[in-house]
Amino acid sequence: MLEIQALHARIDGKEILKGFDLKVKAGEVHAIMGPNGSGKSTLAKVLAGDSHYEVTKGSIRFEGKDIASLEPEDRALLGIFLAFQYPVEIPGVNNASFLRMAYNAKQKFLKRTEVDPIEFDEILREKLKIVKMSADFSSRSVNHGFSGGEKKRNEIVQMAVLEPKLAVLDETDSGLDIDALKIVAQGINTLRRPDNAIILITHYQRLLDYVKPDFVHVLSGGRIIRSGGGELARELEKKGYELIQS
Amino acid sequence: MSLFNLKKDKLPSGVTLKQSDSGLEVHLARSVSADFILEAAEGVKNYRFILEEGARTEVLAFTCGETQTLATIEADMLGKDSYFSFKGLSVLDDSQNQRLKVTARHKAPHTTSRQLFKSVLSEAAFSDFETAVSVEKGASRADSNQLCRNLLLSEGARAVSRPLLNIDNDDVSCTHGATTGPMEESELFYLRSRGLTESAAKELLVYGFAEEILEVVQDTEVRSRLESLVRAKLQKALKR
Repeated sequence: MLEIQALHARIDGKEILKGFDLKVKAGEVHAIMGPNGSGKSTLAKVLAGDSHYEVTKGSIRFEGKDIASLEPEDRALLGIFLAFQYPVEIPGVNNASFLRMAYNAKQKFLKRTEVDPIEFDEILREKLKIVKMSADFSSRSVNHGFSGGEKKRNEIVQMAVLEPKLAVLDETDSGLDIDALKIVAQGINTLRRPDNAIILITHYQRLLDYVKPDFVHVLSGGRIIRSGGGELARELEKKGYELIQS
Repeated sequence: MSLFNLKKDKLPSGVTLKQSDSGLEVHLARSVSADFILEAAEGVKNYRFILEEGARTEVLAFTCGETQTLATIEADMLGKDSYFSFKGLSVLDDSQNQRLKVTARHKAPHTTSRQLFKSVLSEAAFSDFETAVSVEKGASRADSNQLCRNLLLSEGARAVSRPLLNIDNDDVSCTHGATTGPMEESELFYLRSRGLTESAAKELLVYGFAEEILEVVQDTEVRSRLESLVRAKLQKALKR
């Protein structure tokens, strides 16, 4: 599904990713772990098409197509979804209307019928249940005045509505207390399917206690320095990043 | 919330008007609560709201397309527990310019004031917003908040925001903030990452920016009139 080869990317002239490789197949969950500054968030933003980041070398192929120069909306329509580390607050923009626009953009792209607000309300209601969000959430502004946990849950709601083929979750576990973490993790597990793939970007192992990854990769200095199964995350937790790097 | 138009509507009891040299005086008697809508198109330029004990008012002001407007809105919170809120929205283009000055005077204990002003400016439009709060000696526990946000849709648009605070009391909570700039790139990217085209995302953001003020208007007739006014104006601004 996703094949990244020798990817180099920079922001403000500073190279962050330096030869990053990754292959993700449908049905797989990959965890990417690494210390602060290793390039985790850069990877997330580059995949989503943030224009602040420049790909200087290498390739990103999604279902065989090179997407490195595509606009963010075109990547979204192809089925790539980024759950933001810091979801953006947009006062005045209604959550449900925004989500319906996004949903309809996708429906249109897939040559399916667009839905009206009443039909969408039904869809959204079901999706909200996945992360135990109350229905009044749909009448609020996008992330505006949401608690940290609500923002992260909202990202998962959006993922549930848009049903991406590839979801990149950027530190979705950060800032969550244990109850919220469990809800979010359950939500992710509900959305995990044989025909989609998930990349979990995280600093800590604790999310991986609830969402079991098939592969764990350690990112350091802009490249993957080790890959393994779930046991690698536990080893990291015990030894810390420094020991692994040395 | 029902909004009274000072020029057209029959006013609720406890609200009296007086025309003075400096403008229109609106007096709210003890515990009276009434909200008002002011439209620049209607011509009155200067207002002074006088609030007795426990009186509450929310004032909404809209400027949408007038060539030149100059207005002052003042509130004197004479009685304790009185509340004054100002919410303003201006959508200007061409070479339209506006100077608006809002002053909240806390003259009694436990008084609260809120000011939120937003402008959407395109072409060579200019907005100057002065927001003042004064807290007098006896006005303990005064609580005020001032926020001004200017959205610039073109290089030639300009905005000035001047928050002023004059506080003569230690026991107060006063906050203020101002932002001026083009659309937030982070907001645009967020919306586009969900599959919205750049132009759809921009439209949504600009309407959303205005909506924060418009949504306060609950009278459906007034609201839909204002909304279509604002929409037409924004549509024009975005097409450029």
